[in-house]
Amino acid sequence: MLSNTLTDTRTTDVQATVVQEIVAILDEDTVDELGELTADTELSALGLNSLAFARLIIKLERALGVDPFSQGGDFVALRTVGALAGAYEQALSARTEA
Amino acid sequence: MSDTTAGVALVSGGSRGLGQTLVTRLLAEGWQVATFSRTAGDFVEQTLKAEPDRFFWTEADLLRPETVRAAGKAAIDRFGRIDLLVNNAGVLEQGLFVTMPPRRAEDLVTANLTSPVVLAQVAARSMVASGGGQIINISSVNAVRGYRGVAAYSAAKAGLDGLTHSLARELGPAGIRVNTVVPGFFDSDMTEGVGPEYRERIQRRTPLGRLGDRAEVADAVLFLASPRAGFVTGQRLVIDGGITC
Repeated sequence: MLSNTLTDTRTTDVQATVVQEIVAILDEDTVDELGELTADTELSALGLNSLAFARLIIKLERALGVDPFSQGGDFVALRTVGALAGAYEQALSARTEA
Repeated sequence: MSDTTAGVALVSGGSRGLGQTLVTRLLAEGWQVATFSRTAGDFVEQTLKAEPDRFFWTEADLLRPETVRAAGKAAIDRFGRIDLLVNNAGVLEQGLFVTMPPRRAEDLVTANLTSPVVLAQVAARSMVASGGGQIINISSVNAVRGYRGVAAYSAAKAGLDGLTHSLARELGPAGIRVNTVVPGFFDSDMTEGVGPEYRERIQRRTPLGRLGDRAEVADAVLFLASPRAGFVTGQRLVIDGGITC
């Protein structure tokens, strides 16, 4: 069964939320196949099509209150789960500073 | 969505005309209904009193798409989701294209295309997150046949048809159906300025020999919103008494 935590030492609430929402979107077979998600897990390994990825971004906006890609940011350039979580951490800190 | 309701519907321009009929019919069929318009009016006030738990209204102006986006988000805040969007609101203004002030032509496109696109995006994001839904765009026979004096309006409504076709392909895999209802000439606030001579000519050219009724257009919308149309998407349902056939 997939853990909802990241093994990376930078694990934060944001990262945990990202992992939680990814797990919610994946089907059970994929979850079993992938094993534990870590910050280094390649997003391409998740097997999400573009629509499923869009669904993930929408659900993360609801969970975290920000959308790092709303101004046209390029999520295609993000390669790992950790990088995706990092994009949300940056957006949240930018909002706090603003 | 509450288990006791048919779902959450967002109807643009629900304070009068076809929008008012749609709000009334959807409430009667058990939907929670959100709508917006520039002003509330008697119907909205009365419905807010009669259905405080299932009806929501907020102010928005089609000429200001940011207010339309805010209205869509307010509906989601109120009911938690959108299961059905009816892009009903529109603005019709007649005039020769060559003498129409450029700003007026832009406004017609903003009201009849830009704002519906903005609203569709807000609703589609909710539907993608919740796993399905439906979008019904109200177009016009002006988008099917050419008529003088309505060029900018026709262009915008034809754009709405394009939105339907592309969204149906893009959102189908997410369980979202997208269709267009094309009303012909029917008694509405938008056609009340049509003179008796022109009205008679329309009736003469209509195979069924009369103008439509807004309830007949609402019937088509409710059919497309129902499970009976569960395998229908990307289609245009023309309700015009045959005038475009």
